[in-house]
Amino acid sequence: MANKRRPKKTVIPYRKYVAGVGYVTNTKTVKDLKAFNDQNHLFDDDLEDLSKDLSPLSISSKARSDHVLPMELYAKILDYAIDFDNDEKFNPKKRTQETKARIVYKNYALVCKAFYYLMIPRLYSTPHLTSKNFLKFIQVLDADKKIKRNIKKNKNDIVQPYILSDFVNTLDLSMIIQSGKNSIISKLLRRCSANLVEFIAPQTSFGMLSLTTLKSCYNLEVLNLQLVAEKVDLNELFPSLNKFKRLRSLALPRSSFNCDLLAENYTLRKISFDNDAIWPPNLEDVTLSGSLTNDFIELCFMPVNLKKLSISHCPLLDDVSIYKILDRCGNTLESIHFQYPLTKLRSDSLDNILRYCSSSLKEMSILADNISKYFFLDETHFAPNLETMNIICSGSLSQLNKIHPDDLTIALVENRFPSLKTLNISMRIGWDMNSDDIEDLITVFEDQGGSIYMSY
Amino acid sequence: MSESEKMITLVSGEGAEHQVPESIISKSILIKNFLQDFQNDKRETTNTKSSLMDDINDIDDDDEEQEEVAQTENDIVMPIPNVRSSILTKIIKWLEHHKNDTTLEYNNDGTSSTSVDDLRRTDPLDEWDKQFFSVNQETMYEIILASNYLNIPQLLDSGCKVIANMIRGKSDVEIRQIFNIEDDFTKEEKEAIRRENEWAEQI
Repeated sequence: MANKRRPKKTVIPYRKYVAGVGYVTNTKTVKDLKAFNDQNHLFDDDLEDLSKDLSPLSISSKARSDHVLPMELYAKILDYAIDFDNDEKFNPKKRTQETKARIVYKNYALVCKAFYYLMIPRLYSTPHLTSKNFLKFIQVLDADKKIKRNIKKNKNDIVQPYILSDFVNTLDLSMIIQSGKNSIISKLLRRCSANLVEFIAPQTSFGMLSLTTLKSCYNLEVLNLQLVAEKVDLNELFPSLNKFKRLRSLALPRSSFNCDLLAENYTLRKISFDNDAIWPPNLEDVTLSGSLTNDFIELCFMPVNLKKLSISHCPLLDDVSIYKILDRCGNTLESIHFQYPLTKLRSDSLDNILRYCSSSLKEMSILADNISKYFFLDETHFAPNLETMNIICSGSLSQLNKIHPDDLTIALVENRFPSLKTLNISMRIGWDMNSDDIEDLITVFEDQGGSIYMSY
Repeated sequence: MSESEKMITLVSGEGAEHQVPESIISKSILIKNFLQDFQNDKRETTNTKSSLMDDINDIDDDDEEQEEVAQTENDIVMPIPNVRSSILTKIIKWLEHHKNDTTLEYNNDGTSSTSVDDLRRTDPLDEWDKQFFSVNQETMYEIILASNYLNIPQLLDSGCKVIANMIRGKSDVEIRQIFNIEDDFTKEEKEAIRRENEWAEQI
């Protein structure tokens, strides 16, 4: 087969526009044309002229005016371009999520229809929603829903081959404050339920109705209810969570009705309390908060394959429950975080957590309020692969100088945290940053190749 | 078999032959798979032939067959009809420059075993690659198309990155000029799109 892209050897005439003179037809050789082309001076107009006037070049110029690359390559290029736009390393001006949506829509989607169809799924997959544009977004999905109905009525009259809400993968409603209603959030969830993978609930307007609608999002992998300010009934929440077979990450709401009723029901029904009965089966990351009770923890074991565990705002949990949780899932944990207030814990309640965690532990945040110096001084406390440690302190009374920098230095010298590279310490712990003890700690830690950060 | 590296002959669209060492060209997943299939086929045929020969016991024919096999072992000719000679030369130049790169492992279908995000975050534009792609647009497109056809993911990635860098921050009119694409929207359609995606602008 002849190669149609091969440069033609015939001498071709070339018509160019000269200011003040008009079109001038020159006779140029292929070589000249190529040299001209190399300088990148061949514009649309020139190409159109060429294709009108010249038969030998018609095929190649047609190819040029058409889409030169296949669509999957355009998609790849656009993905890279969006990535470049959003990456600080490529772009000195830090582009945020907000500008991402704008760039996607304005520059790339308006190029041509093909680009628009490439861009629409990218624009809708992670919509950046704020109080300003939230209602508009809902309106668009509403209008789209009507188109969908038309398709159903009259199959020949397909206005739009796709449904916008099906593209939505992530709904981050953390910025929606006081601008949504229960029914609206619920409607949005219902519309996007087909392919929703990640959902971050808003602070307000997330009530019973939304919780019920949430059940229809079968593909959910990340569910974050931490921001929800309304009291959530855990007795209602847990039965619906159980249906999410793919859920990997779950953050429970901060305030909730206590779930003793649920535990009681389970006891009455005599269901075996393995984790499948109450927790989603594939959970890897859990944030426990709210009114989880000791009874609940005792009856409903935590999932076995947890990799990340955060415990925060649990006013009803005591140390027995925490060690029960760790006993169940400590072997697989890679990251464990404690966040104050955990009011039922004593001042040395968390001293023994390292005994329950295996060598897979890489990251931990520990509350200075709930550990004593024996957390560092006990020789059995050993974390071979721990890379990051955050020491958080509430700064409340009687917490100052509870742990001394020397305790940490001794633990490091005794090589009980051999892989530790990053140490974040809250300033509220009350250490004098200019003291010799801190200097010792820094020297020992730097010898190990780590660095200390003080945070406020 | 000779100890020196096996050479593959690539035949371009114009019929020009290019000799490339196997280690270099095997970055192209198309050719790598072709070579694997070729070797598998050859092994099967030699096996069947040797069993046949045992049965027939015809010595003269056996010699001839062996000669043929030896010849095909030395010359692997791969026609690449839709790539021009000049483009093929450029691609070989790129492959030679990147022959020692520690690259990401690609599966046989050209997908990467690492996540797509990691792939994108890798060093965006190598200086040498930048220089390599500083050619006129048509050549650049041809290189990208050829690397897509030959399935050389690294070259395809750098090509796409160069073009992505070109269209970055440009308006839709400028992008249309770069890609030589016609504006096929009507005024009403544009207005409808603008209305539909208004939310994306009001942040």
